Amino acid sequence: MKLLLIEDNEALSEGVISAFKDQKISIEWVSTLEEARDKIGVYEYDILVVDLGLPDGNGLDIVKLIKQVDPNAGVLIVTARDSIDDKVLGLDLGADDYITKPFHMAELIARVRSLFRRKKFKGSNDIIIKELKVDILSKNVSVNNIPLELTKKEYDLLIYFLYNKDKMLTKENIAEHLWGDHVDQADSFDFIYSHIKNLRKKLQKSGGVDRIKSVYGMGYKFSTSL
Amino acid sequence: MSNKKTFNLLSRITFFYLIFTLVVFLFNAKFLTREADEFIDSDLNRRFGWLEKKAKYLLEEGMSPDSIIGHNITKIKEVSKRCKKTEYPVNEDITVFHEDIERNLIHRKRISLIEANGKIYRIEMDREVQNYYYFRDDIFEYVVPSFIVLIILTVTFNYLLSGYFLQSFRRILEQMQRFKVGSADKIEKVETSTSEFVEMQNLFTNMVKRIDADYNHLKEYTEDIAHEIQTPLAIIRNKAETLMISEELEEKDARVIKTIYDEANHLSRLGTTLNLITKIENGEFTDIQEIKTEAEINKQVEAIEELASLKSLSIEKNLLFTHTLTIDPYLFDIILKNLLKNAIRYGSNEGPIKIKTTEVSFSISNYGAPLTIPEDQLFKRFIKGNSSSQSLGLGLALVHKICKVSGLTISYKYEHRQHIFTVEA
Repeated sequence: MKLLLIEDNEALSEGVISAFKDQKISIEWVSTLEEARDKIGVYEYDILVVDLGLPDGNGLDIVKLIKQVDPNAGVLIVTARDSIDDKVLGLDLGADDYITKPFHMAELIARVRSLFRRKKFKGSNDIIIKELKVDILSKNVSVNNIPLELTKKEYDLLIYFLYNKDKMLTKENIAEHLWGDHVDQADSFDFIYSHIKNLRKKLQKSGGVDRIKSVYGMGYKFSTSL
Repeated sequence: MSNKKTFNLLSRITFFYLIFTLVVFLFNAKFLTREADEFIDSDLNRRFGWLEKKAKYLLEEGMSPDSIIGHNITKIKEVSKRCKKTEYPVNEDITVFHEDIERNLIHRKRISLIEANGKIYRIEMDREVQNYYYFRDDIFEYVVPSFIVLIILTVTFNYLLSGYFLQSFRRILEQMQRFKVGSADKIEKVETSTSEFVEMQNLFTNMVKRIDADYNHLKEYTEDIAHEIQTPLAIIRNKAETLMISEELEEKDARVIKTIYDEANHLSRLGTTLNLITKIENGEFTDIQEIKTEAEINKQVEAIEELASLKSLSIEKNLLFTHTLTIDPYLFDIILKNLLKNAIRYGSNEGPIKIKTTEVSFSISNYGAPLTIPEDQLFKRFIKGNSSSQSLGLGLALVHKICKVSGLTISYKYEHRQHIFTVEA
């Protein structure tokens, strides 16, 4: 997967770049529309992460351009302006998804991965980690080839972990991913806990290793290296 | 707005104008009547004076007093020289019955003294004045019908002219009504030569310019704030996250970082919500339509039911298919989300959260201990029922604001251990 990040804030970009690099996803970064145009003209990218407020113009121009040059590329809009018009316009122009600042890095990674899988339909739709196998298309989960019955929330939670493997996810990350703005974080920790407990139980029942580790009570991590 | 009965300006002016005219007419009539009286008096004086002279002449010519009776002189007789001369002349109006026309007619009678041949005579004269009086009374009789004609003409003209003159006024009003802050519609100029309307239109145009400028500044400001503050917050949060993941971190330090992370989160959500409130205040949500609430409520309840059940709360719906609200659907979503969130946060499991719609209202209730804050503070910003909670304290303020801009009312009451919020159109 090859990614182009178009974002003018250096510190934020740094964070995004290192997060994606941790996930072994190759990522390039430009900070202006001008540079972005040059890059798109020369290279091919699977996913574009586009900030709308750029110093030399609106990121929507890039959305327009990429849809002409490479309609298969996935476009994820990053906006701080939080204006519905911008989002609607972006989606109308052909963007695939949007995320509002401030976002959780884990959420961005999950969105990018999910977008990538959606775009590259022909490729493998299975995520396989040792004994665990998930078919993204049919949403079938199995451990040691024994199918698991997961609730929708448990499935979402598992995918979120898999998309952010070996990365600690804070309770806030998880709560926001699962319930969006339906919850304020403080209330949601107990809810997360019970979901994680159930997911762990189901994974272990079929002989899986317990890969979900809690970190200082701050969050959880799905570890592949056990 | 008061419910006092209103009248249109022109009718009101016309009404006062007509009252004024009536007063003028009455004064005029009074004046004319007095003039007529004076005329009658002076005319009679002239005639009676002439009769006196004639009688005196005839008496001095040696005619007997009796022979000059007739021709308006009814009586003449000699009186003593010592009679009180100051009592004369006497003028009085009398009614005389005329046999030929069988009617009473008013006559003016004068009694005066004349001196002829060294003797003093008391002479009585009278003259029919009925026609004079008819003429005088005609003045009043003329005022009433002419005033009525004036009323009819004025009212008709007003009616016809107000349509013509007020046309531009109405169009300016229409524009004012159509004007919406932040909309791109230009205000078209209404051509009028009425100076008040020109002034009003100029004022309105200037006001709109000012409002638009203010609005754009505010909008720019909030958008800038959103951008300029959320980006650093995102960085703080991401950096904190990176630190939290770090393997070498001591638990003690991890807690510090977690606090930074939490507060950055809190600030960020606060910013987003305050932003939303500003946008609502600015009236940026204009997709107002009549929505059937049932489907919306079902959708939201489904999304949140699980969260409720994790707190052992059940949600009981009692929805009426026909209940509708006229509101931007996005805003209704926010109302629902916040009221539900509120009910789940503060709900106790002694009973279900109840959502009920009737023909006219929509209410959400949850069981729980009475409020610890004054009821009238409930919808204010940053008021929290439980200070230890991470809640922003903006949810109900947001709901209140939305109801206000959407022309809905939200009310709260505590009954049978239940907190009940009711939204009505």
